[in-house]
Amino acid sequence: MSLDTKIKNLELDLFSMGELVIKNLTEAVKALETRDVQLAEVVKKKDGEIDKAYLKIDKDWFELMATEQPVAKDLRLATSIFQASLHLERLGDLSVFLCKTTKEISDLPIPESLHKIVVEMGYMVIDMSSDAMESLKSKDMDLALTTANKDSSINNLYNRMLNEVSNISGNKDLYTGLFRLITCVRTLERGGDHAVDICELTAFLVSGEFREF
Amino acid sequence: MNSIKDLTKTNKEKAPKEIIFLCVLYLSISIAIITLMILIFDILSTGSNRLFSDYEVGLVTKQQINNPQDFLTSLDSRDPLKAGIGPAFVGTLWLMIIVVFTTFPLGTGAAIYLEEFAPKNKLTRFIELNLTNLAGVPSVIYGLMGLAVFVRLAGFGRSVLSGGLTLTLLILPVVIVASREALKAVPDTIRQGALALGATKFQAIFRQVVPSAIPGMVTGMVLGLSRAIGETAPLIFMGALTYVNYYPDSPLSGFTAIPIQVYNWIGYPQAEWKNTSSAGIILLLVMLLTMNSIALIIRNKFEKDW
Amino acid sequence: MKGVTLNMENKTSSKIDLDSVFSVKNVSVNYGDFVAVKNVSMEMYKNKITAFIGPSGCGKSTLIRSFNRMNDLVPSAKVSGEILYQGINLYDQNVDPVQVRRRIGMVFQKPNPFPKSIKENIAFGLRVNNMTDNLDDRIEKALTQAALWDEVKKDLDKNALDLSGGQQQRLCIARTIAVEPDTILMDEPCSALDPVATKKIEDLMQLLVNEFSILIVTHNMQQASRVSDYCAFFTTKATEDGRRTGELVEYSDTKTMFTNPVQSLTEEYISGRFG
Repeated sequence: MSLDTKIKNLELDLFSMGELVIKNLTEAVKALETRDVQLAEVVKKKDGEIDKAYLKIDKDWFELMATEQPVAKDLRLATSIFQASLHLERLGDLSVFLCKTTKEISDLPIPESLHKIVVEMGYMVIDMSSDAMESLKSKDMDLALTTANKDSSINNLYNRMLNEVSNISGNKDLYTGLFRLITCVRTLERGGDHAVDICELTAFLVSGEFREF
Repeated sequence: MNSIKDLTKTNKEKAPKEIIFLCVLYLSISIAIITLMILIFDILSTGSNRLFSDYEVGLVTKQQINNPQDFLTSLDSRDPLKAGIGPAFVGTLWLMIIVVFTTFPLGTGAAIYLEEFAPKNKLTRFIELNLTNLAGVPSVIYGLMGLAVFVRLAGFGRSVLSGGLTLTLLILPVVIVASREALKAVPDTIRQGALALGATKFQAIFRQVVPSAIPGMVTGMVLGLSRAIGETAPLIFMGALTYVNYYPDSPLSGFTAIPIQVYNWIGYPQAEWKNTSSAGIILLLVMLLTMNSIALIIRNKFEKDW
Repeated sequence: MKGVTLNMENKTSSKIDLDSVFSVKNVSVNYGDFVAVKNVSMEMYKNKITAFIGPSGCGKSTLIRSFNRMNDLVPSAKVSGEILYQGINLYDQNVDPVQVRRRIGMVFQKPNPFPKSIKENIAFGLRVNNMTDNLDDRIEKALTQAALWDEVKKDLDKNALDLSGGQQQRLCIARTIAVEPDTILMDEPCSALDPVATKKIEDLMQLLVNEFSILIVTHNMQQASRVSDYCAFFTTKATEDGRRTGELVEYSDTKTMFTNPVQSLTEEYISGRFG
């Protein structure tokens, strides 16, 4: 197998892992939205496939580096693919966390306003992740930049949540549910960071420079 | 601190020694060339007239002599102006043919055997050592040997065959050595490449190595031949006749050769014989030059750029 | 950890798929009383590329030349042990070395085309092996398989020595495969070539391995890692009389050797720390 074929295969593996992750994330957010515990179980089980895909990319990348010693464009591409797979795996773990949360709040009273915020943030993360992967696939610098900027919206939502919390305090029954949703928001915020990291990889691939957005 | 001056300093120190050395070299080569030029000039000045001009001879009956054809085709005569080199010329040609047809197969065959097939043992080393020695043996010895073996023992008599075979023995060591060098010059990778394709040793040698070495072998043959035709002593010793008035018609007939004829003519007291001898020498020189040029052309045309 | 390591953790294909083409058992090669390479045992597999790597003088070339009995040309050479080629002992009395060399071809370090035309270079091998039917077709096929046909098809009578180094080496490969061997031995085939020509030969090897088994000796570790499926690492060990004898240190599939070799000596060599 030639170097080009190996890198091409690595790319294909990454983008099919990406599709898998985005799909799972979407189902997870939907499950959280509709508080569907069964759907959450299905999503949790699917994470095994994501982990397998990650390990394959990891192994193939490692063997590629050892046997082909790529340079220049090939090196940037191979390294970007490897690092992107790491972020995707984390997003996979995020979906699992959402599912756990869905299960935990299934029999708890939760503040509706916060629930809405969490779900909204979830859809934002899906949107950002999907665009980030698209920018990597088409090596689109502009898309990467606009996507990275969306992180500020997540920060805004976070601040809104903080305001809401102060409105709700006092009703002790809601505390457990509240706690769960707040940790959910923190985790989703990190999800946004992973999406931004993928955008940085796109920038590295295109320009050859390491930078933080 | 180094300066530019350091770079130019050394030139000046060495110069006188180098100049002296170059002068000595030029002197040596000049002596060699000038001597050769003098000899050639002498030959040409005495012989070219005899070789190329037409004239009449005879006190009573006039005879037209047209040179060079008459010189080349006439028989020997007591008159230096009539004497021709015909039989000697043909004799030399006969010798050349016999030498080529015996030396080439024997010489190249021996070289191929020694280089490619002979086991590396004491016997082979002994043969190789003696080959080099034989190349330096005086040609007179070969004459004596020719007398004993070909003239007497084999019963060929004082014939052109005996002469040719004697000359073969003379130049065989030279041809074998030259052929071996030609075979050695073929890189071993060619042999290995041929064998790696499933060729037998025989196929590898005769279809790849020898064809590549042929130009070198032919060159060696031609150079050996040009030595052979100039040899006088061995032929005299094995009894080439000096006054021959006929053309040799078979390998077993008597003969003479150009060097012998010239040697004979030089011995006569009359002054005109000098011109006739020089004419003969010019002919010999032309033959030698032609053969050496052919050898050079062959070598240049077929030389491989390994 | 002393001794030889045979590391055959090949996760992609099971043992059943791998046909053995060479089976080497305790083979040593001596030149007179000098032991060039000692006690090698390994299997080489069909339609795979196996590489021999190691520092100079470790006997890789000596060993590979005993696989097609080219060592027979050196009078003092002696091969002990067993080299089985598809089950047949190559050094058996009944085995004809000439036939062996047809079945197991060899490409040398410096391209050595015959000083004849391109056509004649290939025709020679065909003629000595009585494969002269459809000569022109065979020549075209060999040149095509060696990725040289397009470059020379217009001028088959051109002298082979006029070709570039890379083309000459491909011609040598073409004439080797023209006689339809099963295995091709390559003794540092790219060491005399520039990087572009080297890459062409490496790409060619990937194509040829579908039809032939290939054994390559190389000084270039990156080449071994790029090109080979299995890798054998040799090194020299000093003997009592002060000379150095070659030994097999580790033999495994290439991916393992370059990501996680077992012997520390192997690790040191491939990372360039010695040799």
